[in-house]
Amino acid sequence: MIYEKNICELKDYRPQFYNKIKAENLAKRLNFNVRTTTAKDGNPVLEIEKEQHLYRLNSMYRPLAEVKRWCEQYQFQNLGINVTMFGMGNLLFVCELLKRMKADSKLYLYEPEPEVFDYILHMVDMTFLITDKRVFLYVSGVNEKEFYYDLAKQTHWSNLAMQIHCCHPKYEEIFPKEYEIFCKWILQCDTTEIVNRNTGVFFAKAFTENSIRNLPFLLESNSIFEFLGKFDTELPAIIVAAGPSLDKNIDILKKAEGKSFMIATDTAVRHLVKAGVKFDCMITVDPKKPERYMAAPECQKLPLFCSLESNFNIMHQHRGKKIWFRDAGEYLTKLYHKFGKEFSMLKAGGNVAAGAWTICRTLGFRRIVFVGQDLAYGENGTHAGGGVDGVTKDVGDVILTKGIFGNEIQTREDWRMYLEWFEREIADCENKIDVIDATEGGALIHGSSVMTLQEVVDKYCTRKGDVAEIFDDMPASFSENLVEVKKELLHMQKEFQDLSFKTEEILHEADKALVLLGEKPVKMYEFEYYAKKISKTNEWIGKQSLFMLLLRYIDGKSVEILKNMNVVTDNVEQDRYDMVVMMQEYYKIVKVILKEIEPFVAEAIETIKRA
Amino acid sequence: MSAVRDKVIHTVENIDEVVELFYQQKISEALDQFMDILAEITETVDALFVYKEENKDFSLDREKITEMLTEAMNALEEKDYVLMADVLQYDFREYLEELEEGLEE
Repeated sequence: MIYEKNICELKDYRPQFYNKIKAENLAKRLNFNVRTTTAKDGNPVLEIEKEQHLYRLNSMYRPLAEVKRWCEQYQFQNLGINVTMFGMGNLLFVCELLKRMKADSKLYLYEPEPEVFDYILHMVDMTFLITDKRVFLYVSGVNEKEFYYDLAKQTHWSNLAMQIHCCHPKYEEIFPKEYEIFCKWILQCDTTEIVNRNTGVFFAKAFTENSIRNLPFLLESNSIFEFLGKFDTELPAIIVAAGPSLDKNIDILKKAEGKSFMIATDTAVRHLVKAGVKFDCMITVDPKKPERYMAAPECQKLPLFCSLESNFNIMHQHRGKKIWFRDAGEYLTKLYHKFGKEFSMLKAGGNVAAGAWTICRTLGFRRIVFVGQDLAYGENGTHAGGGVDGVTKDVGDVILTKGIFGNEIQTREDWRMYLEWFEREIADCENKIDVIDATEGGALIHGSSVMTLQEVVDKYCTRKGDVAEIFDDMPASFSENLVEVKKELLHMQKEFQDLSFKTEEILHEADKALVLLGEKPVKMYEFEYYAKKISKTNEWIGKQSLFMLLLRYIDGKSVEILKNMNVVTDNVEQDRYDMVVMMQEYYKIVKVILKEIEPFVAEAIETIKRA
Repeated sequence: MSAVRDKVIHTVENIDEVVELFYQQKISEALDQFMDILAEITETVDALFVYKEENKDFSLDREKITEMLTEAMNALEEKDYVLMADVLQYDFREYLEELEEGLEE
């Protein structure tokens, strides 16, 4: 009865999870047993016997009292809390957590042992858990790969400090290796978000300036989604990055010309041009990448995968096909959908080679080859041609990682983060993509097979492809509705004016609200009138296309203001006051930014009108 | 308030603090604190035994206390910290509270 009830709810509320459980064989382990005994107060106690050792997962006296005292260490009053929990047990601890969590909190519950999950599915009424929308459920061997990506989507630097990470008592002892990996995923998630925040702060203005100045290119560009199913996916996709090992095998790439899909990262372009290698396309994402990297005439007409945030100067000097593969906010998604075309946000990965991977994976290539992907220090520098990355000293101490030859080599924190990203991506492919590391040096990328580039060329670059023709034959995204798209882009002028007006409006309303809060007694009815107006205006502003392009700049400049936005204290009056002050400070920044970008908006409008 | 009663009250408070840490799985901190109060627990139990010698009507079951503490120590040795907390909380502490009522003010 319990099992049938649980399964029924799983089918209704979590059909994808249900299908995965059906498909997986939750096999019984040797020397592993799960059972329930009874505490002195009559409540259930879960016991796990693993390799002749018995572990009791609840108090033998009063399990419910134990659970309450365990939960007391965690604070749940803040907003938007992510709770990650290792181990389900018999759900007593989970149940108490959910009772204390607010409606906007989320619980990422991970069970490392499928047999425990299977036992609970049969023996414990899980319906309260299954039907709770705050709960994200993961079971090892079923859907554990989703944990990192789901948590990453909900992790923002403003809620990092609010996160609650907990472990069911005894689970760390019973499953130490699995717990270590679980903690590593969370650390990677948090680290990535911190890096994203820092990147956002560093590039804040450049993101927005480029996004606006690049808008006119939308009239004669394409999206990656137009190329889905067009390329021969049996061709090897070769990602050429500019790691120091590229110097060793760059000449061999000539043998792959025309017999592969060769994409060069922006940093690798000039090395390939100098070596006389003819590649198929390029990618650039960094908003401040020096334009001299892609200034060679030989590459100006090659297709360029890019984002609205890519360096305008590179985009301006480039004369070939521009292909959007990343959105800025949801600007491109909104625009493309408006005209009945596909677009959605793809993963970035934090560096340009990760972007190239995303492109190759999205286009469906079944074999992806890394070249120049050291992710480690070389003997003569950090990049091909003996180049040394100027930010080396700023990104932290040298750390060690395993190299492709099994030795320990030196890398740094940001490269290790990218390495872990690639390894997660490769694991996520579930062997559907053959990933080959033909760098012939650098860090070992788990999940890839190591080959020399010559071996790759001999084995896989055996027939001609038609990559260039496919790129050339694709008409621009909006070639059929150019007039309407132009009109849509030119609407930016009105949006800019409206945004400026609404920003002044919010600042005025915030002033009034603060005056009211300063009075004793507070006229709550009037305050709430202004609070509602502020909230409505804020919501309207958030939906404007132009605002989406400003968001990264605003976020970058408002880190200090927003860092406590999810904090809720016991002092309701103070919280109310702080929220209004925060809104006021935020929109003061928006006002300054609107002033700064005004000339770029004017420039973009003129360029679009002339097109 | 008698010195013995003081000791018992103080010991009960300290036990409350330490079992909280065990239940919250803050094991390292809990063990440190437990080592600190172990001497106090011993002193309190000794004081109760002396009090019993001096006050024949005082109801104290020596064997019961010894059994509880032995069970707690066994749980500690087995690293079954929740069981140890349970014994300290529901057996030992609750018995101390019973005894406290029988002590002179």
